[in-house]
Amino acid sequence: MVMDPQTQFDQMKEEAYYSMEGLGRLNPEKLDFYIDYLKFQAEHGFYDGDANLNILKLYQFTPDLITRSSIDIVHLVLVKALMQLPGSDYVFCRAQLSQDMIDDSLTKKIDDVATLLETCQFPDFWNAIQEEKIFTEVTGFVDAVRKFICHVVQLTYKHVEEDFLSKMLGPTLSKSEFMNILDQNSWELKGDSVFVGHKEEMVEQKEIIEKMPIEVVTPILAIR
Amino acid sequence: TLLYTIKFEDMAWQRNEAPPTQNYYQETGSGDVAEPVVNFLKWFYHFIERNEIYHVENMYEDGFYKISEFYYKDKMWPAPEKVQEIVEEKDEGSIFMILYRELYYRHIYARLKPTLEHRFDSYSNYCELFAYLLAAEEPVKIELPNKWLWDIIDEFVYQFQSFQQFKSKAGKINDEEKNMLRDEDQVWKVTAVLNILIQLTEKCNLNDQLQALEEGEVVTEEIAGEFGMKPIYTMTGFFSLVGLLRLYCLLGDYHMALSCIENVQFKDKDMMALVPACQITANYYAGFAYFMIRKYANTIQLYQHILGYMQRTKQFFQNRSFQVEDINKKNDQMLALLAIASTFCPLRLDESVNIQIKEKQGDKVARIQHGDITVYDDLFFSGCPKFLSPVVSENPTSPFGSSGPRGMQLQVFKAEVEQQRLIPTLRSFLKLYTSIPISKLAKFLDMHENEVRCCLMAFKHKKEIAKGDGGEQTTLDIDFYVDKNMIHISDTKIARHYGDYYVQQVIKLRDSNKLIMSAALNPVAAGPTPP
Repeated sequence: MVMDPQTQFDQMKEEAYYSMEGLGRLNPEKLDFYIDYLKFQAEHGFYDGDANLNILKLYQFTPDLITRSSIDIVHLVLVKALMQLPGSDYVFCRAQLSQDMIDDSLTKKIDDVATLLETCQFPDFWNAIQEEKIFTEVTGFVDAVRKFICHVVQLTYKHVEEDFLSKMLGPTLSKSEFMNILDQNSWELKGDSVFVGHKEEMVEQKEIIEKMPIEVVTPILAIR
Repeated sequence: TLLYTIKFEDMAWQRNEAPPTQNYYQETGSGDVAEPVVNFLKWFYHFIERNEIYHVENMYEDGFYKISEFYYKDKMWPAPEKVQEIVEEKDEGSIFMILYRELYYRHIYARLKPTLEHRFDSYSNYCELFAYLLAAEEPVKIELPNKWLWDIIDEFVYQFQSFQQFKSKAGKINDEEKNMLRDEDQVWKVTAVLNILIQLTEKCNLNDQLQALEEGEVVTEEIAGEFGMKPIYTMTGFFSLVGLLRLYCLLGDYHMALSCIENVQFKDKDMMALVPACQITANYYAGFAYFMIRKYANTIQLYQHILGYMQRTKQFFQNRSFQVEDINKKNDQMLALLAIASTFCPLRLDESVNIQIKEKQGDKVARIQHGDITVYDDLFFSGCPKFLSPVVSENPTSPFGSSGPRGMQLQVFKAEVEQQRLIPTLRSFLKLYTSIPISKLAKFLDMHENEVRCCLMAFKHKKEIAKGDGGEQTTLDIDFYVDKNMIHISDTKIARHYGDYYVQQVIKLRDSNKLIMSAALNPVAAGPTPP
């Protein structure tokens, strides 16, 4: 009997949750399970940051577990984490890598891609990911990044030019996909620009007045 | 029966008296113990056995420190076997002996240099101590002062840190020590240390208790369990949680660090506030974890609050020089990190904090504002904790090298410095306008228009992250939105904040007055008048 991916994922998620309770996290015997779980996530487009991060933790605590293929696992963890932007997942992972893992050339590439995303250099980003197949192999990577791009557009724009927006969303974007994205974000196409939302509130004249909590004043209240 | 040759109140350390003669400093062949020390030990034993927590606290906080200062400034306290004889305790595994050994080794670490054997023995003693608490089927009867419980956990983590650092200095370990390390490879293992701390938090259902407190419920036995109803378990559990927070940060695991304090409220009226050193440590590490994941508003909020607290309570720490040292160190570390954080996330800082930053890091901040980003390295090193790696190989690289634990975390931080590189310049131009076309801004910045667009988005993205999950904070930063090719910038006026400054000046004046008055009452004797 083949379970549907969602049910499978839910089961694995529960197993991961219980095996990571307390000190169980560091049990090296579960490493293979976490790796299978990660690969499942990459294939079917699910995500469990806690479990993936735990793989890196196991590598850190038990270096004997590291084999020649471990670096591939590290790459997968990083790419999956990158898909969570603007979440902090990538930084959490990055802080747990060993020097050897960092020096690996693909890790460096992934890190460069991460920087391009964090600095919102989206056109350069689309060029950069052409060079490595990992980005196309992980299911949902492109959609996740587009979601992040839309998030940043939402923060920044009232009206954005249509061709600039579609350039940012990537060269492989079809017209219908583009319209879908507008729909999902409740944006309106008006002529040659897209209306994202009213932002005038953001720049209203504000005056910040002083508030003083009582603890700051008590030292000078002389009570004799 | 114990013969007390002296009444409790009459002991010299109680009256701040210096030791009577030189003799006590001389060590005879059999290592005689000075009489006042014998009395101290007997009374200490007496109170611990009878659970008289008030006196135990007094002897622990005051007596032990003073006797160490008078008699054992650069020597070890009497050997545990000797002390066992003195207090006539038959069982070397009794709780008093375990506690004495903890103090004995702590003293060695603080004032002398521990040998490898000391490190091993101290570890065994900790295992005994924690087994005493954890393996008990019923809650133990003993009660201990909170400060002592905190110090035990704090020291436990510290000794682990010390051990890892010792192992990293491969060049300084001789062959005999190398063999000892190989033979005893279970000692001070990171998993064991974590295990103990985790078990201590679980024994008293700490997370359930914290959740209940967060929701404003009263903690009942149903929530806390049988063990959680006894303060020794709950407080040790809580301090262990802070110990975990610290350890995770030292290992670069900010995810676990932040998730373990999920339910902790950083307020003054909390479990944390019972021991000031605990509160300072917890705030420092929590703020540091937020700092590393770029949620600067959270860091700023925590650090401002705790720095204010430290200023106000500084006077209460004057009696213990080593405590003051620790506190000053944490103070300076937080200032360095705040200096960095406020360049990435301009928020209103309290005047007292601003003054301190100017004093200690003023020149560095000025250099950053002039575009010198190499200064960030120094500030980071000043502010960061002593990172560790969980496993130290037999031939480790230098702990301060670029691939040591500290170097690795620096790399993570430097990535952020690089990502923020263009933002200050952007900010300074935008500040000058209420609206400006992208093309014009591109000319000023000497960048292509599309590059400017990306930069504007990056500004918004970083700003949103820095906001973190903090509450209301007064931002000094500009805000803007882009409408096609026009940028509209906020016009925030900040009313003059003089209250803080006013309070600082009043305090300064009051202190100056005090000084003048005391000088007037005790005039300095005039020197011999010339003929």
